[in-house]
Amino acid sequence: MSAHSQILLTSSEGTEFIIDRDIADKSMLLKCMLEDIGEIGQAVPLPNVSGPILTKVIEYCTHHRDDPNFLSANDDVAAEIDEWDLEYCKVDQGTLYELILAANYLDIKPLMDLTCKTVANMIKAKSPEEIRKTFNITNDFTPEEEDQVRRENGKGSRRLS
Amino acid sequence: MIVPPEVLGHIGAYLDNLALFSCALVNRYWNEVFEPCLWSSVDSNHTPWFWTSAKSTISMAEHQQRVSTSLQRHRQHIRDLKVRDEMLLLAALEANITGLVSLYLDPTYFKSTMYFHSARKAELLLVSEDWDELIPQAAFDGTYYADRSIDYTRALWRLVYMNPGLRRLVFQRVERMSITFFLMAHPSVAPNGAVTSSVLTPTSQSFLLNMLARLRSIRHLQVGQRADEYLFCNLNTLFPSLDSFVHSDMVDFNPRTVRLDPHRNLRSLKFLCTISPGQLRAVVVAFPELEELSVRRLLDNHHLVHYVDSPSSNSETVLTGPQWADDLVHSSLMRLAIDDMSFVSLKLSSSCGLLRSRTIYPYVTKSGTYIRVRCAMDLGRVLYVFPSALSLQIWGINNSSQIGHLQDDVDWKCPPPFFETWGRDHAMVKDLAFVYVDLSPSAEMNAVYAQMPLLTRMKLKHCSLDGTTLTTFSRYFKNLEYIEFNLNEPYSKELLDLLVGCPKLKCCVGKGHVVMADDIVDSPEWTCRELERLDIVVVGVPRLTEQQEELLDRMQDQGRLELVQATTTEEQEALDRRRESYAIQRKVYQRLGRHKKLHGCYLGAWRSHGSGYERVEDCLELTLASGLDELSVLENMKFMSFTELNHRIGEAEDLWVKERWNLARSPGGGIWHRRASP
Repeated sequence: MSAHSQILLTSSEGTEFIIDRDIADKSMLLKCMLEDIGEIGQAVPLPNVSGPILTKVIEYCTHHRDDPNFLSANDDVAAEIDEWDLEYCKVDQGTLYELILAANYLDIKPLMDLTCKTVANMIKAKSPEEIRKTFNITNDFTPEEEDQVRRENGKGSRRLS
Repeated sequence: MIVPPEVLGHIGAYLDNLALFSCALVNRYWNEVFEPCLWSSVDSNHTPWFWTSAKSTISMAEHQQRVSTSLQRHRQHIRDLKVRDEMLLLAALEANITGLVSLYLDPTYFKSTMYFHSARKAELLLVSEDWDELIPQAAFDGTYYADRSIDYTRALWRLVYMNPGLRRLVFQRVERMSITFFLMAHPSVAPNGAVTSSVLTPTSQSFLLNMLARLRSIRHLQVGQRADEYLFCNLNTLFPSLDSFVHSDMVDFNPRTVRLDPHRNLRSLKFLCTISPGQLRAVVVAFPELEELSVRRLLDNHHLVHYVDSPSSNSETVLTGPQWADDLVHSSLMRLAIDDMSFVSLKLSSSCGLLRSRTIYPYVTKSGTYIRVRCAMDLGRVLYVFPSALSLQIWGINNSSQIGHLQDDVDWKCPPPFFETWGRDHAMVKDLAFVYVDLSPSAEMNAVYAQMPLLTRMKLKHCSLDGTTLTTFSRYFKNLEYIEFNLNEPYSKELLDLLVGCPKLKCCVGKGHVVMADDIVDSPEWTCRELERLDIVVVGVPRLTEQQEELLDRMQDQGRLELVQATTTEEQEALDRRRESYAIQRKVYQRLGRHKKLHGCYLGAWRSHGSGYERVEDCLELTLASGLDELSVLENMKFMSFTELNHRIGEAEDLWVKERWNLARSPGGGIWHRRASP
């Protein structure tokens, strides 16, 4: 098959996207699917991914199109996020979550790593209360439960001078 | 929106234990996800619940009890365990942890008696009869053991035995001899009578096999304890699917006689020890799929001398012969790191025969890898043997250091077709550092520069550099984004050439960047629109003498300055001088103000002067009146450093800088920067 062949995708609301095969191949889900069933000339439905999110995912795959280290790019947990990726992740939280879910569903490991790393950076150096605030989560612990978690996992014995 | 647990778990992989602890406290759902994350990796160095201190009110025995209880409660979550002390070792054994995927054992700080308040329990755990058969005391070399440390070794191995699902096993190399753990071995004697490697006794060998044969999923292995020698020679039979092996000690195999079976799956091999060139070659042949090879030092050192590849009396490392290149052409090696190649530097051309293949080594990136070069030809030669290197760190010879044997006469002449064969297609170098390299202008150097059109980062340390070279840089390096260098002499126009000629330049830093104000005003358009950081010492600004400043101050006090009412010729001269000074300074600021992305600036008032520094009298004033306000177009300014000695910064400037960029003068002075929010 030629590298220039194109693939048709439909997002959850039925919008059609035409992308190059090598871009589709960045998604392990699509890659395996296309290898198994071949290119059938029909649209591949992606009922879990909305149009705007799919656009965003395609943007990522296109930017990293010729990246030789695509699959191992984010293996280094401590590595800095590069500038383009950093800019790419400057989206609202809802979009970021949807991106994570899409990356998870489409199985695009570097995008998954990038988005998760971005969320991780939002969590780092925050107290539980600050995390709740950031992600709009209500605390459903009873004070006793919270105290128990605290005791069992850390602070109880943490008496560093 | 509910984030599925597997996604949250994925995020957890990027969090440290403290952050995971916070996450576990967020709410019940997060707790369910993050508590296992928190406990999946246990390392006494990084685990809050394990920390204690002398101030702690609980006794050591209580603490040990806590640790045991905690491990028992979470035993099913623990996947990765790093054991650095006896307490954790005992607690892990007691908790019967069996689901480990990764185990790291570092007995360096084991103490034989401390922590053992419940010594009876320790004895029960360490010395029990059913273990005598599996982990026999006789397998270890008692002469190296102090007190009961042999029991700790056995306990460590017991932990290994309990976890057959291990994918990574690391016995950290122990430096302190008192608690070194050694398997029992016989010394092996080389044909020439020298005592070399150790050969494991049958008991220790069968013990090792019993232990390791269980580890069917092992991918990464570092054992040591005198075992690595034996393992290394039998890797293929023992662990056909091993991916990565670290050889921690004693590479004493004889490359002429040893039989290393080709191993198809090994990708990464590290020698934390010295290895001879002959051994290295045997390794590369034996592991055709190797992608990463790391060697602490490449050297025929004294205890390896009987393995010198050429039998001549010359013990200098020689890797010659065409077979070298042939062997390596077939190798898939991607990364090679040799921490110390200085001892093979004299024979660079021949030793780098092993690197000559054009298809391998896309990366020579490890910062520790350095190659000494003595002239441009050497540099070219390096580029030739690393044709697709992305990053190079080139060390020249520091004349002041004592490296007598490197001063020998060496024939450095390159074969004539040298530069022609190193074509532009291979010009991959993006990151280049020179240390102690003479960069005086020469045709050879120019030829080298011409081969690096993609260069984006350049760092020069202790390099003799002159203006011609700077101009050459600006001509060849059109992709340059970052450059760092120090100058001993002012090369004003040439330095500005970089700003004019390198359109992608973002950062130009270093000491002694002395530039004449007139040259700035007269220089052609600076094409580097993306400029973010600039270090320059602007000189040649007409500045008033102290008497003139005093005169003008007096006029100010008398209210005559605004009216420009000079009553004496001295006053008139001072006024003219100030007008002239402000005019040129304003033009300089305007120049800087065109680079909207500028966010950091060093505007020193010192210039290097031979070995020392000299204060510059004719620098920018950095006052609003002299034109500092021209910089108000720069929105991103994060710091501006200066010297208070000769700039005339006052309260008005501090206030302006605070309002404009939210910067404050540091308590020690000399820099405006962002204060960390309290």
